[in-house]
Amino acid sequence: MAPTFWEQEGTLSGYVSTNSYSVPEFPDAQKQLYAVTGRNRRKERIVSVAECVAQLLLIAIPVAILALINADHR
Amino acid sequence: MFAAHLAAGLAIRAIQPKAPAWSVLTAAFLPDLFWIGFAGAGLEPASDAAFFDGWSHSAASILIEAILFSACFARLGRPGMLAVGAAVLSHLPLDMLIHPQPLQIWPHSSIVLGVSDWRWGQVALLFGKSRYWWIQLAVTLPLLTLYCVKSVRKTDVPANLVAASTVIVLGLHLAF
Repeated sequence: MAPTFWEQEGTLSGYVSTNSYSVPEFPDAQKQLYAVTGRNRRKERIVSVAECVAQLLLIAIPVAILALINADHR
Repeated sequence: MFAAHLAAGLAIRAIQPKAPAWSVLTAAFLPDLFWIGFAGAGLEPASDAAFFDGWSHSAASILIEAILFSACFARLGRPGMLAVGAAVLSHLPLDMLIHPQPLQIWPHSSIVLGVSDWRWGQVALLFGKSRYWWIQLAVTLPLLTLYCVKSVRKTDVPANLVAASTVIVLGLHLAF
């Protein structure tokens, strides 16, 4: 039975080479997950800001046009 | 409500020409402007499942917004300030008619104003337009009539521009 990492002296790479043990993929998968989640969060924020801006323009444009038309003409 | 707020702002402006048009029109939408900011900041969830707009649209909030916003126009004197305040307050009865959620007396209050039911408002009636659309038209038309009559009598806005404003508001109602 191969020794565990804690029983083996040296670095992780040494342990891996000694025991023909591949580097677990979990950290990479986790990294990818974090990247995707981060992208989604940014995307959500962008959509939300875009929606806010769209709503704001929907009000601001008619208000500006009507305010100009009905401005004091004296 | 959308076009009805514009119509209310124009009607108030026609009744009190001392108030600049931009101030009363902005005032008529002030609670919605706060709502956009609060929704963007996550204070007021805008999704159907968790809709809440008590901070921007409760009666107490609208009253505070009216007082604070009208105070910004102290230079217009009492008539101008009253016009701006009235424009903000006009948001309350208009949104009371139909709103995604009934308007609260104050944020998170269990006491609500009106019996607004969003689903009831979404029921399609004549020409496939919703009940909400027809109610808004029924509110907008008298307000625009008031605007036209008072503008011609009390303001110096030319009749063709009054007509243009009316067409714009009605067009927006048709579009949205």
